Amino acid sequence: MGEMIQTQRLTYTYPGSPAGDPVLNRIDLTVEKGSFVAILGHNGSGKSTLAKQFNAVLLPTDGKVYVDRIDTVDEGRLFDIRQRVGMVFQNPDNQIVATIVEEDVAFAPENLNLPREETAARVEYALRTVDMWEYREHQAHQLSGGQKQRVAIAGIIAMKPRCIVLDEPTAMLDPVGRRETLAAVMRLNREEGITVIMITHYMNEAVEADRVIVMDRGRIAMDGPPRAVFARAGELERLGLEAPQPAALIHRLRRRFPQLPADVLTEAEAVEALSALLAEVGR
Amino acid sequence: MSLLEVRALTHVYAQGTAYEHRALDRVSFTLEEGGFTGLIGHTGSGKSTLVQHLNGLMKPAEGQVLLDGEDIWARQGGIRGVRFLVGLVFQYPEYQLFEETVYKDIAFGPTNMGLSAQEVDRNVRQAAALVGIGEELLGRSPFELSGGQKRRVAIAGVMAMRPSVLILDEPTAGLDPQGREDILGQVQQYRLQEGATVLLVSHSMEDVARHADRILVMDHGRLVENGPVEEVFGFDSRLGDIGLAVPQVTSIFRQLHRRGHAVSPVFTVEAAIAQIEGLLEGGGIG
Repeated sequence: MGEMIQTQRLTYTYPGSPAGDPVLNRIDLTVEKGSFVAILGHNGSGKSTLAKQFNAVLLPTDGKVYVDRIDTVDEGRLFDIRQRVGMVFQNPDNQIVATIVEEDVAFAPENLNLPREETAARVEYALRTVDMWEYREHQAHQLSGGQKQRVAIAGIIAMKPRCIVLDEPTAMLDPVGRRETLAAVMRLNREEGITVIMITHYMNEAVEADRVIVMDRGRIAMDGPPRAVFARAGELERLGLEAPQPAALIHRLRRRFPQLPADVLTEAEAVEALSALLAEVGR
Repeated sequence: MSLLEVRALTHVYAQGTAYEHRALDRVSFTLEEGGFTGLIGHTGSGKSTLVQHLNGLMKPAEGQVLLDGEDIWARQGGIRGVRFLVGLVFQYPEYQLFEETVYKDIAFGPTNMGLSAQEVDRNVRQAAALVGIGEELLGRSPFELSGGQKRRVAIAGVMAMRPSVLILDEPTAGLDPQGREDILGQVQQYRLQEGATVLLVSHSMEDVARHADRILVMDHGRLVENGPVEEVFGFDSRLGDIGLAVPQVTSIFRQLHRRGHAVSPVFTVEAAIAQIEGLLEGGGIG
Protein backbone atom coordinates (compact mmCIF):
# COMPACT_ATOMS: atom_id res chain seq x y z
CA MET A 1 0.00 0.00 0.00
CA GLY A 2 2.88 2.41 0.71
CA GLU A 3 3.08 5.22 3.21
CA MET A 4 0.77 8.23 3.30
CA ILE A 5 2.70 10.18 5.92
CA GLN A 6 6.23 9.65 7.10
CA THR A 7 8.13 11.65 9.70
CA GLN A 8 11.85 11.37 10.42
CA ARG A 9 13.13 12.71 13.73
CA LEU A 10 10.41 15.38 13.50
CA THR A 11 11.11 18.12 16.03
CA TYR A 12 9.10 21.28 16.47
CA THR A 13 9.62 24.20 18.82
CA TYR A 14 7.08 27.04 18.88
CA PRO A 15 8.57 30.39 17.86
CA GLY A 16 9.64 32.21 21.00
CA SER A 17 9.98 29.05 23.11
CA PRO A 18 13.45 28.00 24.24
CA ALA A 19 15.07 25.54 21.83
CA GLY A 20 15.45 23.00 24.62
CA ASP A 21 11.66 22.80 25.05
CA PRO A 22 10.27 21.24 21.86
CA VAL A 23 6.54 20.45 21.53
CA LEU A 24 7.47 17.55 19.26
CA ASN A 25 10.65 15.69 20.06
CA ARG A 26 12.32 13.58 17.37
CA ILE A 27 9.23 11.69 16.22
CA ASP A 28 9.59 8.81 13.78
CA LEU A 29 6.21 7.78 12.48
CA THR A 30 4.85 6.11 9.36
CA VAL A 31 1.14 6.08 8.53
CA GLU A 32 0.20 3.50 5.89
CA LYS A 33 -2.20 4.38 3.09
CA GLY A 34 -5.76 3.28 3.84
CA SER A 35 -5.26 2.99 7.59
CA PHE A 36 -7.34 4.57 10.36
CA VAL A 37 -5.09 5.97 13.07
CA ALA A 38 -6.36 7.52 16.32
CA ILE A 39 -4.05 9.85 18.21
CA LEU A 40 -4.62 10.22 21.96
CA GLY A 41 -2.85 12.27 24.58
CA HIS A 42 -3.64 14.69 27.39
CA ASN A 43 -3.96 18.44 26.67
CA GLY A 44 -0.52 19.81 25.82
CA SER A 45 0.96 16.43 24.83
CA GLY A 46 1.69 17.71 21.30
CA LYS A 47 -0.99 15.83 19.37
CA SER A 48 -2.58 18.86 17.66
CA THR A 49 0.85 20.23 16.79
CA LEU A 50 1.69 16.89 15.23
CA ALA A 51 -1.53 16.89 13.17
CA LYS A 52 -0.73 20.35 11.81
CA GLN A 53 2.55 18.99 10.41
CA PHE A 54 0.61 16.55 8.24
CA ASN A 55 -0.59 19.16 5.76
CA ALA A 56 2.14 21.75 6.18
CA VAL A 57 0.18 24.15 8.41
CA LEU A 58 3.33 23.90 10.54
CA LEU A 59 6.79 22.95 9.28
CA PRO A 60 9.46 21.04 11.23
CA THR A 61 12.09 22.97 13.19
CA ASP A 62 14.26 19.94 12.63
CA GLY A 63 13.77 16.56 10.95
CA LYS A 64 11.43 15.80 8.03
CA VAL A 65 7.78 15.24 7.21
CA TYR A 66 6.83 13.59 3.92
CA VAL A 67 3.24 13.59 2.64
CA ASP A 68 2.87 10.98 -0.07
CA ARG A 69 6.65 11.27 -0.43
CA ILE A 70 6.55 15.05 -0.85
CA ASP A 71 8.77 16.95 1.59
CA THR A 72 6.49 19.47 3.38
CA VAL A 73 9.15 22.21 3.28
CA ASP A 74 8.97 22.17 -0.54
CA GLU A 75 6.95 25.41 -0.95
CA GLY A 76 6.40 24.81 -4.65
CA ARG A 77 4.37 21.70 -3.79
CA LEU A 78 2.22 23.14 -1.01
CA PHE A 79 -0.86 22.90 -3.23
CA ASP A 80 -0.18 19.20 -3.92
CA ILE A 81 0.21 18.55 -0.20
CA ARG A 82 -3.02 20.34 0.75
CA GLN A 83 -4.88 18.55 -2.02
CA ARG A 84 -3.74 15.19 -0.67
CA VAL A 85 -4.40 15.89 3.01
CA GLY A 86 -7.53 17.72 4.19
CA MET A 87 -8.09 18.91 7.76
CA VAL A 88 -11.22 19.10 9.87
CA PHE A 89 -11.17 21.07 13.13
CA GLN A 90 -12.99 21.04 16.44
CA ASN A 91 -15.48 23.86 16.10
CA PRO A 92 -18.10 23.19 13.40
CA ASP A 93 -19.22 26.84 13.38
CA ASN A 94 -15.79 28.07 12.31
CA GLN A 95 -15.66 25.84 9.24
CA ILE A 96 -18.86 26.78 7.44
CA VAL A 97 -18.27 29.45 4.78
CA ALA A 98 -21.52 29.60 2.78
CA THR A 99 -25.20 29.96 3.69
CA ILE A 100 -26.55 26.91 1.88
CA VAL A 101 -25.16 23.43 2.51
CA GLU A 102 -24.37 22.54 -1.13
CA GLU A 103 -22.73 25.92 -1.74
CA ASP A 104 -20.54 25.38 1.28
CA VAL A 105 -19.38 21.98 0.03
CA ALA A 106 -18.85 23.40 -3.50
CA PHE A 107 -16.65 26.25 -2.24
CA ALA A 108 -13.27 24.52 -2.41
CA PRO A 109 -13.78 22.50 -5.65
CA GLU A 110 -15.08 25.64 -7.37
CA ASN A 111 -11.71 27.20 -6.71
CA LEU A 112 -10.06 24.38 -8.65
CA ASN A 113 -11.63 25.64 -11.90
CA LEU A 114 -13.26 22.29 -12.56
CA PRO A 115 -16.04 21.96 -15.14
CA ARG A 116 -19.41 22.72 -13.52
CA GLU A 117 -20.64 19.12 -13.94
CA GLU A 118 -17.52 17.82 -12.21
CA THR A 119 -18.05 20.16 -9.24
CA ALA A 120 -21.71 19.16 -9.01
CA ALA A 121 -20.78 15.48 -9.14
CA ARG A 122 -18.19 15.92 -6.38
CA VAL A 123 -20.65 17.80 -4.15
CA GLU A 124 -23.22 15.05 -4.54
CA TYR A 125 -20.67 12.32 -3.87
CA ALA A 126 -19.35 14.17 -0.78
CA LEU A 127 -22.79 14.87 0.70
CA ARG A 128 -23.97 11.32 0.09
CA THR A 129 -20.83 9.93 1.72
CA VAL A 130 -21.55 11.80 4.98
CA ASP A 131 -25.28 11.09 4.69
CA MET A 132 -26.23 14.77 4.27
CA TRP A 133 -27.52 14.77 0.66
CA GLU A 134 -31.10 15.33 1.84
CA TYR A 135 -29.99 18.55 3.51
CA ARG A 136 -28.27 20.02 0.44
CA GLU A 137 -30.67 22.96 0.18
CA HIS A 138 -30.81 23.67 3.91
CA GLN A 139 -29.37 26.70 5.66
CA ALA A 140 -26.02 25.58 7.09
CA HIS A 141 -26.30 27.62 10.30
CA GLN A 142 -29.57 25.94 11.23
CA LEU A 143 -28.08 22.45 11.31
CA SER A 144 -27.16 20.60 14.49
CA GLY A 145 -23.50 20.42 15.54
CA GLY A 146 -23.10 16.88 14.23
CA GLN A 147 -24.70 17.83 10.89
CA LYS A 148 -22.44 20.88 10.54
CA GLN A 149 -19.39 18.78 11.27
CA ARG A 150 -20.46 16.31 8.56
CA VAL A 151 -20.88 19.19 6.10
CA ALA A 152 -17.35 20.34 7.00
CA ILE A 153 -16.10 16.80 6.29
CA ALA A 154 -18.01 16.79 2.98
CA GLY A 155 -16.25 20.04 2.04
CA ILE A 156 -12.96 18.23 2.48
CA ILE A 157 -14.06 15.08 0.64
CA ALA A 158 -15.14 17.18 -2.35
CA MET A 159 -11.45 17.96 -2.82
CA LYS A 160 -10.87 14.20 -3.20
CA PRO A 161 -8.04 14.00 -0.68
CA ARG A 162 -6.15 10.76 -0.09
CA CYS A 163 -5.95 11.48 3.60
CA ILE A 164 -8.12 13.34 6.08
CA VAL A 165 -6.83 14.62 9.43
CA LEU A 166 -9.46 15.40 12.07
CA ASP A 167 -8.47 17.36 15.17
CA GLU A 168 -11.01 16.45 17.87
CA PRO A 169 -13.94 16.59 15.43
CA THR A 170 -16.43 15.48 18.07
CA ALA A 171 -15.23 17.46 21.11
CA MET A 172 -17.99 20.06 20.83
CA LEU A 173 -20.77 17.64 19.89
CA ASP A 174 -23.40 15.84 21.95
CA PRO A 175 -23.50 12.02 21.99
CA VAL A 176 -25.81 11.83 18.95
CA GLY A 177 -23.65 14.22 16.93
CA ARG A 178 -20.58 12.28 18.00
CA ARG A 179 -22.06 8.99 16.77
CA GLU A 180 -23.10 10.51 13.41
CA THR A 181 -19.68 12.05 12.82
CA LEU A 182 -17.77 8.93 13.79
CA ALA A 183 -19.98 6.85 11.46
CA ALA A 184 -19.19 9.22 8.57
CA VAL A 185 -15.46 9.05 9.31
CA MET A 186 -15.52 5.25 9.46
CA ARG A 187 -17.36 5.06 6.15
CA LEU A 188 -14.73 7.28 4.50
CA ASN A 189 -12.03 4.93 5.64
CA ARG A 190 -13.70 1.56 5.08
CA GLU A 191 -15.70 2.23 1.93
CA GLU A 192 -13.76 5.01 0.23
CA GLY A 193 -10.29 3.87 1.29
CA ILE A 194 -9.27 7.32 2.52
CA THR A 195 -6.50 7.34 5.12
CA VAL A 196 -7.88 8.76 8.38
CA ILE A 197 -5.88 10.32 11.20
CA MET A 198 -8.15 11.34 14.05
CA ILE A 199 -7.21 13.12 17.25
CA THR A 200 -9.71 12.46 20.01
CA HIS A 201 -10.26 12.48 23.77
CA TYR A 202 -12.93 9.83 23.50
CA MET A 203 -11.51 6.37 24.06
CA ASN A 204 -14.58 4.64 22.59
CA GLU A 205 -13.84 6.43 19.28
CA ALA A 206 -10.23 5.29 19.34
CA VAL A 207 -11.50 1.71 19.76
CA GLU A 208 -12.78 1.88 16.16
CA ALA A 209 -9.32 2.68 14.72
CA ASP A 210 -6.82 0.12 13.34
CA ARG A 211 -4.04 1.76 15.27
CA VAL A 212 -3.83 3.93 18.38
CA ILE A 213 -0.94 6.29 19.04
CA VAL A 214 -0.59 7.85 22.48
CA MET A 215 1.41 11.08 22.73
CA ASP A 216 3.13 12.31 25.88
CA ARG A 217 5.40 15.34 26.21
CA GLY A 218 6.12 15.53 22.51
CA ARG A 219 6.96 11.88 22.07
CA ILE A 220 5.08 8.75 21.06
CA ALA A 221 4.47 6.90 24.32
CA MET A 222 2.37 3.99 23.00
CA ASP A 223 1.61 2.68 19.51
CA GLY A 224 -0.40 -0.38 18.54
CA PRO A 225 -3.82 -1.84 17.79
CA PRO A 226 -6.53 -0.56 20.21
CA ARG A 227 -6.79 -3.90 21.97
CA ALA A 228 -3.08 -3.94 22.79
CA VAL A 229 -2.90 -0.27 23.82
CA PHE A 230 -5.98 -0.35 26.04
CA ALA A 231 -4.77 -3.52 27.75
CA ARG A 232 -2.04 -1.31 29.25
CA ALA A 233 -4.61 0.57 31.36
CA GLY A 234 -2.17 1.42 34.15
CA GLU A 235 0.25 3.14 31.78
CA LEU A 236 -2.61 5.07 30.19
CA GLU A 237 -3.65 6.35 33.60
CA ARG A 238 -0.12 7.56 34.30
CA LEU A 239 -0.30 9.46 31.00
CA GLY A 240 -3.46 11.24 32.15
CA LEU A 241 -5.84 9.10 30.06
CA GLU A 242 -8.26 6.33 30.90
CA ALA A 243 -8.95 3.09 29.09
CA PRO A 244 -12.60 2.52 28.08
CA GLN A 245 -14.55 1.33 31.15
CA PRO A 246 -14.76 -2.39 30.17
CA ALA A 247 -10.97 -2.51 29.66
CA ALA A 248 -10.22 -0.51 32.82
CA LEU A 249 -12.50 -2.71 34.92
CA ILE A 250 -11.05 -6.02 33.78
CA HIS A 251 -7.48 -4.72 33.88
CA ARG A 252 -7.80 -3.68 37.52
CA LEU A 253 -9.52 -6.91 38.52
CA ARG A 254 -6.73 -8.93 36.93
CA ARG A 255 -4.43 -8.05 39.83
CA ARG A 256 -6.56 -10.26 42.07
CA PHE A 257 -7.94 -12.56 39.38
CA PRO A 258 -5.17 -13.22 36.87
CA GLN A 259 -7.34 -15.81 35.08
CA LEU A 260 -9.31 -12.93 33.49
CA PRO A 261 -8.38 -12.28 29.84
CA ALA A 262 -5.82 -9.50 29.28
CA ASP A 263 -7.31 -7.86 26.19
CA VAL A 264 -10.98 -7.11 26.95
CA LEU A 265 -12.21 -4.07 25.04
CA THR A 266 -16.00 -4.15 24.70
CA GLU A 267 -18.96 -4.42 27.09
CA ALA A 268 -19.89 -7.80 25.68
CA GLU A 269 -16.39 -9.17 26.25
CA ALA A 270 -16.37 -7.87 29.82
CA VAL A 271 -19.74 -9.53 30.49
CA GLU A 272 -18.42 -12.87 29.18
CA ALA A 273 -15.23 -12.63 31.21
CA LEU A 274 -16.96 -11.69 34.47
CA SER A 275 -19.73 -14.20 33.95
CA ALA A 276 -17.13 -16.97 33.60
CA LEU A 277 -15.25 -15.74 36.66
CA LEU A 278 -18.37 -15.58 38.84
CA ALA A 279 -19.51 -19.03 37.68
CA GLU A 280 -16.09 -20.55 38.31
CA VAL A 281 -16.00 -19.29 41.88
CA GLY A 282 -19.67 -20.13 42.48
CA ARG A 283 -18.94 -23.83 41.94
CA MET B 1 -27.75 27.06 51.94
CA SER B 2 -30.54 27.89 49.56
CA LEU B 3 -33.47 25.95 48.35
CA LEU B 4 -34.19 26.24 44.65
CA GLU B 5 -37.58 25.11 43.48
CA VAL B 6 -39.21 25.05 40.07
CA ARG B 7 -43.01 24.86 39.77
CA ALA B 8 -44.85 24.01 36.57
CA LEU B 9 -42.39 25.91 34.42
CA THR B 10 -43.43 26.17 30.76
CA HIS B 11 -41.66 27.98 27.96
CA VAL B 12 -42.74 28.19 24.34
CA TYR B 13 -40.39 29.62 21.73
CA ALA B 14 -41.91 31.60 18.82
CA GLN B 15 -45.42 31.17 20.20
CA GLY B 16 -48.16 31.58 17.63
CA THR B 17 -45.84 31.12 14.64
CA ALA B 18 -45.14 28.14 12.40
CA TYR B 19 -41.91 27.58 14.36
CA GLU B 20 -43.67 27.27 17.73
CA HIS B 21 -41.67 25.00 19.98
CA ARG B 22 -42.54 23.94 23.51
CA ALA B 23 -39.05 23.95 25.08
CA LEU B 24 -40.29 23.42 28.64
CA ASP B 25 -43.54 21.71 29.48
CA ARG B 26 -44.76 21.98 33.09
CA VAL B 27 -41.41 21.19 34.66
CA SER B 28 -41.42 20.89 38.48
CA PHE B 29 -38.66 19.86 40.89
CA THR B 30 -36.75 20.93 43.97
CA LEU B 31 -32.96 20.89 44.07
CA GLU B 32 -31.80 19.14 47.18
CA GLU B 33 -30.07 21.65 49.47
CA GLY B 34 -26.33 21.14 49.56
CA GLY B 35 -26.68 18.27 47.10
CA PHE B 36 -25.02 17.52 43.78
CA THR B 37 -27.59 16.97 41.04
CA GLY B 38 -26.86 15.97 37.44
CA LEU B 39 -29.10 17.21 34.61
CA ILE B 40 -29.00 15.04 31.49
CA GLY B 41 -30.88 14.87 28.20
CA HIS B 42 -30.37 15.16 24.46
CA THR B 43 -29.50 18.45 22.78
CA GLY B 44 -32.80 20.26 22.32
CA SER B 45 -34.43 18.53 25.29
CA GLY B 46 -34.76 21.86 27.13
CA LYS B 47 -31.77 21.74 29.51
CA SER B 48 -30.31 25.10 28.51
CA THR B 49 -33.68 26.84 28.48
CA LEU B 50 -34.28 25.43 31.96
CA VAL B 51 -30.99 26.60 33.49
CA GLN B 52 -31.43 30.08 32.03
CA HIS B 53 -34.67 30.34 34.01
CA LEU B 54 -32.95 29.33 37.24
CA ASN B 55 -30.95 32.54 37.67
CA GLY B 56 -33.37 34.87 35.97
CA LEU B 57 -31.82 35.15 32.53
CA MET B 58 -35.22 34.13 31.21
CA LYS B 59 -38.52 35.06 32.83
CA PRO B 60 -41.12 32.30 33.09
CA ALA B 61 -44.09 32.76 30.80
CA GLU B 62 -45.91 30.19 32.92
CA GLY B 63 -44.86 28.70 36.24
CA GLN B 64 -42.41 29.88 38.87
CA VAL B 65 -38.84 29.64 40.07
CA LEU B 66 -38.56 29.96 43.86
CA LEU B 67 -35.46 30.63 45.92
CA ASP B 68 -35.94 29.89 49.63
CA GLY B 69 -39.66 29.86 49.03
CA GLU B 70 -39.80 33.24 47.30
CA ASP B 71 -40.50 33.82 43.60
CA ILE B 72 -37.19 35.08 42.15
CA TRP B 73 -39.05 37.73 40.18
CA ALA B 74 -40.83 39.08 43.27
CA ARG B 75 -37.84 39.46 45.58
CA GLN B 76 -37.00 42.72 47.33
CA GLY B 77 -33.45 42.98 45.98
CA GLY B 78 -34.66 42.45 42.42
CA ILE B 79 -33.46 39.86 39.95
CA ARG B 80 -29.87 41.17 40.11
CA GLY B 81 -29.51 39.83 43.64
CA VAL B 82 -30.69 36.40 42.45
CA ARG B 83 -27.78 36.23 39.98
CA PHE B 84 -25.33 36.56 42.88
CA LEU B 85 -27.02 33.76 44.80
CA VAL B 86 -27.47 31.44 41.83
CA GLY B 87 -24.20 31.33 39.86
CA LEU B 88 -24.31 30.09 36.29
CA VAL B 89 -21.23 28.88 34.40
CA PHE B 90 -22.01 28.76 30.69
CA GLN B 91 -20.65 26.31 28.11
CA TYR B 92 -17.15 27.24 26.95
CA PRO B 93 -16.98 30.04 29.54
CA GLU B 94 -13.34 30.74 28.58
CA TYR B 95 -14.66 32.58 25.50
CA GLN B 96 -16.08 35.17 27.89
CA LEU B 97 -12.80 36.14 29.54
CA PHE B 98 -12.07 39.76 28.70
CA GLU B 99 -9.99 41.50 31.38
CA GLU B 100 -6.29 42.38 31.21
CA THR B 101 -5.32 40.06 34.03
CA VAL B 102 -6.55 36.83 35.51
CA TYR B 103 -7.05 38.65 38.83
CA LYS B 104 -9.32 41.32 37.30
CA ASP B 105 -11.33 38.71 35.46
CA ILE B 106 -12.06 36.72 38.59
CA ALA B 107 -12.74 39.98 40.50
CA PHE B 108 -15.36 41.20 38.00
CA GLY B 109 -18.34 39.40 39.60
CA PRO B 110 -17.61 40.12 43.27
CA THR B 111 -16.76 43.77 42.46
CA ASN B 112 -20.16 44.13 40.77
CA MET B 113 -21.79 42.77 43.90
CA GLY B 114 -20.51 45.88 45.71
CA LEU B 115 -18.19 44.00 48.07
CA SER B 116 -15.35 45.91 49.72
CA ALA B 117 -11.92 45.76 48.08
CA GLN B 118 -10.76 43.58 50.94
CA GLU B 119 -13.62 41.10 50.51
CA VAL B 120 -13.12 41.03 46.75
CA ASP B 121 -9.43 40.30 47.24
CA ARG B 122 -10.16 37.47 49.66
CA ASN B 123 -12.80 35.93 47.39
CA VAL B 124 -10.58 36.15 44.29
CA ARG B 125 -7.64 34.45 46.00
CA GLN B 126 -9.83 31.77 47.55
CA ALA B 127 -11.56 30.98 44.26
CA ALA B 128 -8.29 30.94 42.29
CA ALA B 129 -6.69 28.60 44.81
CA LEU B 130 -9.74 26.35 44.76
CA VAL B 131 -9.49 25.82 40.99
CA GLY B 132 -5.71 25.36 41.12
CA ILE B 133 -4.75 28.74 39.61
CA GLY B 134 -1.55 29.69 41.46
CA GLU B 135 -0.77 33.23 42.72
CA GLU B 136 1.90 33.58 40.02
CA LEU B 137 -0.80 33.44 37.31
CA LEU B 138 -3.02 36.17 38.76
CA GLY B 139 -1.05 39.01 37.15
CA ARG B 140 -0.92 37.34 33.70
CA SER B 141 -3.22 38.00 30.79
CA PRO B 142 -5.91 35.29 30.68
CA PHE B 143 -5.13 34.87 26.99
CA GLU B 144 -1.66 33.51 27.77
CA LEU B 145 -3.11 30.54 29.64
CA SER B 146 -3.80 27.05 28.33
CA GLY B 147 -7.36 26.10 27.41
CA GLY B 148 -7.87 24.15 30.64
CA GLN B 149 -6.52 27.01 32.76
CA LYS B 150 -8.77 29.55 31.01
CA ARG B 151 -11.76 27.33 31.72
CA ARG B 152 -10.83 27.20 35.40
CA VAL B 153 -10.34 30.99 35.60
CA ALA B 154 -13.84 31.46 34.16
CA ILE B 155 -15.30 29.05 36.73
CA ALA B 156 -13.39 30.84 39.53
CA GLY B 157 -15.01 34.09 38.38
CA VAL B 158 -18.41 32.64 39.26
CA MET B 159 -17.20 30.92 42.46
CA ALA B 160 -15.71 34.24 43.67
CA MET B 161 -19.28 35.54 44.06
CA ARG B 162 -19.77 32.63 46.47
CA PRO B 163 -23.20 31.68 45.09
CA SER B 164 -25.16 29.29 47.26
CA VAL B 165 -26.43 27.51 44.14
CA LEU B 166 -23.81 26.78 41.47
CA ILE B 167 -25.04 25.70 38.04
CA LEU B 168 -22.55 24.50 35.42
CA ASP B 169 -23.48 23.82 31.78
CA GLU B 170 -21.08 21.20 30.37
CA PRO B 171 -18.05 22.49 32.27
CA THR B 172 -15.81 19.65 31.07
CA ALA B 173 -16.62 19.72 27.32
CA GLY B 174 -13.49 19.28 25.20
CA LEU B 175 -11.15 18.53 28.13
CA ASP B 176 -9.00 15.43 28.55
CA PRO B 177 -9.90 12.89 31.26
CA GLN B 178 -7.54 14.41 33.83
CA GLY B 179 -8.82 17.94 33.10
CA ARG B 180 -12.42 16.73 33.50
CA GLU B 181 -11.74 15.06 36.82
CA ASP B 182 -9.81 18.11 38.12
CA ILE B 183 -12.70 20.49 37.44
CA LEU B 184 -15.38 18.21 38.86
CA GLY B 185 -13.25 17.60 41.97
CA GLN B 186 -12.95 21.38 42.41
CA VAL B 187 -16.70 21.81 42.05
CA GLN B 188 -17.20 19.14 44.73
CA GLN B 189 -14.77 20.96 46.99
CA TYR B 190 -16.62 24.25 46.47
CA ARG B 191 -19.88 22.54 47.36
CA LEU B 192 -18.47 21.10 50.59
CA GLN B 193 -16.66 24.29 51.65
CA GLU B 194 -19.62 26.57 51.02
CA GLY B 195 -22.41 24.13 51.75
CA ALA B 196 -23.60 25.03 48.25
CA THR B 197 -26.11 23.27 46.03
CA VAL B 198 -24.68 22.13 42.68
CA LEU B 199 -26.50 21.43 39.40
CA LEU B 200 -24.30 19.92 36.68
CA VAL B 201 -25.55 19.78 33.09
CA SER B 202 -23.61 17.04 31.32
CA HIS B 203 -23.58 14.65 28.39
CA SER B 204 -21.12 12.44 30.23
CA MET B 205 -22.96 9.74 32.13
CA GLU B 206 -19.64 8.69 33.67
CA ASP B 207 -19.08 12.18 35.15
CA VAL B 208 -22.63 12.32 36.45
CA ALA B 209 -22.36 8.82 37.93
CA ARG B 210 -19.14 9.68 39.69
CA HIS B 211 -20.18 12.98 41.23
CA ALA B 212 -23.93 13.43 41.46
CA ASP B 213 -26.26 12.00 44.11
CA ARG B 214 -29.42 12.78 42.17
CA ILE B 215 -30.28 12.97 38.48
CA LEU B 216 -32.83 14.98 36.53
CA VAL B 217 -33.59 13.76 33.00
CA MET B 218 -35.15 16.04 30.38
CA ASP B 219 -36.78 14.77 27.19
CA HIS B 220 -38.67 16.92 24.68
CA GLY B 221 -39.18 19.69 27.22
CA ARG B 222 -40.49 17.43 29.95
CA LEU B 223 -38.84 16.24 33.13
CA VAL B 224 -39.07 12.46 32.72
CA GLU B 225 -36.90 11.33 35.64
CA ASN B 226 -36.05 12.85 39.00
CA GLY B 227 -34.39 10.58 41.51
CA PRO B 228 -31.24 9.29 43.16
CA VAL B 229 -28.52 7.90 40.89
CA GLU B 230 -29.37 4.37 42.12
CA GLU B 231 -32.87 4.73 40.74
CA VAL B 232 -32.21 6.52 37.42
CA PHE B 233 -29.22 4.33 36.49
CA GLY B 234 -30.59 1.20 38.24
CA PHE B 235 -31.37 -2.20 36.68
CA ASP B 236 -34.81 -0.92 35.69
CA SER B 237 -33.43 2.26 34.11
CA ARG B 238 -35.67 3.64 31.37
CA LEU B 239 -32.96 5.86 29.89
CA GLY B 240 -32.59 3.50 26.93
CA ASP B 241 -36.18 4.28 25.89
CA ILE B 242 -35.22 7.90 25.18
CA GLY B 243 -31.91 7.02 23.55
CA LEU B 244 -29.64 7.84 26.49
CA ALA B 245 -27.08 5.32 27.72
CA VAL B 246 -26.08 4.43 31.27
CA PRO B 247 -22.31 4.23 32.00
CA GLN B 248 -20.72 1.16 30.37
CA VAL B 249 -19.84 -0.39 33.72
CA THR B 250 -23.49 -0.03 34.79
CA SER B 251 -24.57 -1.78 31.61
CA ILE B 252 -22.08 -4.62 32.18
CA PHE B 253 -23.52 -5.28 35.64
CA ARG B 254 -27.08 -5.14 34.34
CA GLN B 255 -26.21 -7.87 31.83
CA LEU B 256 -24.57 -9.97 34.57
CA HIS B 257 -27.75 -9.56 36.64
CA ARG B 258 -29.87 -10.74 33.69
CA ARG B 259 -27.68 -13.80 33.39
CA GLY B 260 -28.61 -14.68 36.95
CA HIS B 261 -25.51 -13.51 38.80
CA ALA B 262 -26.18 -12.03 42.23
CA VAL B 263 -24.84 -8.55 41.50
CA SER B 264 -26.34 -5.20 42.43
CA PRO B 265 -26.21 -2.00 40.33
CA VAL B 266 -22.92 -0.08 40.13
CA PHE B 267 -22.16 3.28 38.54
CA THR B 268 -18.38 3.64 38.72
CA VAL B 269 -15.43 1.37 37.90
CA GLU B 270 -14.27 1.61 41.54
CA ALA B 271 -17.61 0.38 42.87
CA ALA B 272 -17.67 -2.42 40.29
CA ILE B 273 -14.23 -3.66 41.38
CA ALA B 274 -15.20 -3.50 45.06
CA GLN B 275 -18.35 -5.53 44.41
CA ILE B 276 -16.67 -8.24 42.34
CA GLU B 277 -13.90 -8.59 44.92
CA GLY B 278 -16.48 -8.71 47.70
CA LEU B 279 -18.49 -11.42 45.93
CA LEU B 280 -15.42 -13.54 45.36
CA GLU B 281 -13.96 -13.01 48.82
CA GLY B 282 -13.24 -16.37 50.36
CA GLY B 283 -13.95 -18.02 47.03
CA GLY B 284 -10.59 -19.76 47.26
CA ILE B 285 -8.97 -18.03 44.30
CA GLY B 286 -7.36 -14.73 43.49
